[in-house]
Amino acid sequence: MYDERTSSLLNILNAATRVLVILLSLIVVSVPFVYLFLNSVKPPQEFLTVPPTIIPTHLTFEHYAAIFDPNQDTRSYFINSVVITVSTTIISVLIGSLAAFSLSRLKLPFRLSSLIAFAFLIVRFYPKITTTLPYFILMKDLHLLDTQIAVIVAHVSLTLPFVVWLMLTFFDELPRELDQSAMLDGCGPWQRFIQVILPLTTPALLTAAILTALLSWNEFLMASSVASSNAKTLPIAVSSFITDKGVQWGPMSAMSSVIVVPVMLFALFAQRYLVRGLTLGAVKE
Amino acid sequence: MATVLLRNLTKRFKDVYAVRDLNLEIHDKEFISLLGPSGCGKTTTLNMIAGLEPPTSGQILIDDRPVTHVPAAKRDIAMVFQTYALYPHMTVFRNMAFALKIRKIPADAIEKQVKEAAEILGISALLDRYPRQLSGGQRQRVALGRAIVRNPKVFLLDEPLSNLDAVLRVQMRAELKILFNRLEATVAYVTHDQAEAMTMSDRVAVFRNGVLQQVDTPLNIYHAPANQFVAAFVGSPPMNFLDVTCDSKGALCLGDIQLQGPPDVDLRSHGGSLLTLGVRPEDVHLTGGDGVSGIIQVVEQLGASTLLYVKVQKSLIAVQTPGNMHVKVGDPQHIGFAPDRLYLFEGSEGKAIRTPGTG
Repeated sequence: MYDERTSSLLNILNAATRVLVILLSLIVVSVPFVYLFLNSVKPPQEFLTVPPTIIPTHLTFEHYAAIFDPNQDTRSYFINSVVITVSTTIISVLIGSLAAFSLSRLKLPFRLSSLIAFAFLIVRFYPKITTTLPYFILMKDLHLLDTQIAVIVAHVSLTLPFVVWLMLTFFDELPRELDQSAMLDGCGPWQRFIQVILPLTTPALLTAAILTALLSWNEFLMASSVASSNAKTLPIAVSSFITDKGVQWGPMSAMSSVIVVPVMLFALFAQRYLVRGLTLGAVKE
Repeated sequence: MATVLLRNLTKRFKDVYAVRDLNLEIHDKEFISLLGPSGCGKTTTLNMIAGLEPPTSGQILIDDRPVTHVPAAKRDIAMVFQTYALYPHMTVFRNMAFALKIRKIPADAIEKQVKEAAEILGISALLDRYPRQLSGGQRQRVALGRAIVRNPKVFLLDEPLSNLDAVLRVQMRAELKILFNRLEATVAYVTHDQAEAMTMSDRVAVFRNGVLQQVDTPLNIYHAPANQFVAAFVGSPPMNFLDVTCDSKGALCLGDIQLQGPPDVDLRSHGGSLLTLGVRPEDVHLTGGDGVSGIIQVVEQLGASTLLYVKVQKSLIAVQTPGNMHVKVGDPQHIGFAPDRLYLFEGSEGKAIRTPGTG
């Protein structure tokens, strides 16, 4: 059927198709980022030319200088973002993993465990916008509007179901004999959780922490509804460059680039754990 | 060491009885096997003794102290799991030391105890390794080490040898026997392997569908089974069962062939009833022309012995013969049964009415 030449030709075609598909996907993903970065170093007048220039005629860092100007509040937005992300991550992972362990191990009557677990899942089903207004009113009544706490509570409520479900899968896959063995060795529930179960789910915990942190760092909708000035996070700061006097493209691009950098660094560092965590347990050792 | 007493112990999962009204005493320093097919309730029984599974009703006493509602952590029982359940993130040393550490025993005492236990089991060289770096047999030893290092009141072993290959299993069988003799331990050993139960135990408890059938010494279980189930479950190759009728004179008939019944029982009271005749393959012999005639259907050369399956009327009868038998499939063959080696069972439950016994 195939002689050697046609088969090697087919191989090359095959490889070429694969490379093409990968290249296309890469372009789709990276073009917005590249364009964002180019905009952040583009002289202001070039935003107004028609057609707009894609590659800047010369580089300028004035937009970065502008956003890092001591008169600007970038520093406090950054601190808000960090405090909110770190707090959300710690609270979500701590409560979420404890809840998941209990749900995984407790034998409640009437399939209550499954019902509770399902209730967590439902929270993920509806659009976030539906709870934004009630949440705003709730925070207003609690006199928590425009505080970091309000944003943290919002982010925990967004990320907790995700952590519970991720950890539940992992705990369910851990053999019950390990719990039983620890019980017979004299462990109470806390000792079992901390000394036996937690060390075995470190990759899962890291995955949960990483994804929670990313979600909180990037979250816009809830944060924008309850944090209008003092507790403003970086994504909201970006949107505030859209003003009634027009859009400040340069500083907006510079700010966006600054937000992306920690995420990129974090992703690079974390990808090893992420991949491991997401596939752990899929294949038996 | 200790005694374990199970009183009217029942475990029900919804409508299914896993264990039903179990009464069993495990004596001090006794090695008892809980034997039965899967799903017969033997592991559930073990879990209830361990405190991992609360009984639906009944009582558990360890050293005459009721522990039915005492949590597993406080019962001072060690268990070896079928899957070993070693802690994957701890070295062998830490695996063995874990229970002692939880009990806040001083570090130097822990080290001494772990090293002693490791010495006994021949795993001293493995103490720094992780479970994933060990072979199946080594993991098995570590699991045992984790149990014996604590010097518990009772050892519970749940099919500890079933994940090992055949050769290692036989070797470990002997080692376990020596080990627990030396420790003078009270041991409950769950297995579905009758060879393990027979070779290792002081007594064997045979279970079926959650109900205890018989508790006795291995030889009594073999030669004086309480019923047809026990007789069928113990022995390899398994016992032959033939449906026979008993006539009014007490003679046994297999179809139209009259068989010589056991000499020591008067079967006239069973006249007209259907009985099940049991005979072990080693108690069937080939005859020149006497006895029952049949056709050889299968020949299994096992080396040390040859197993023949002879078709007599509608039944296939296994016959254990010497290893040097030269017969082939299709040969006609006469077989005979030693009358004093016959078993007789009656009724739907297959209650034994005659066994050879050990005497």
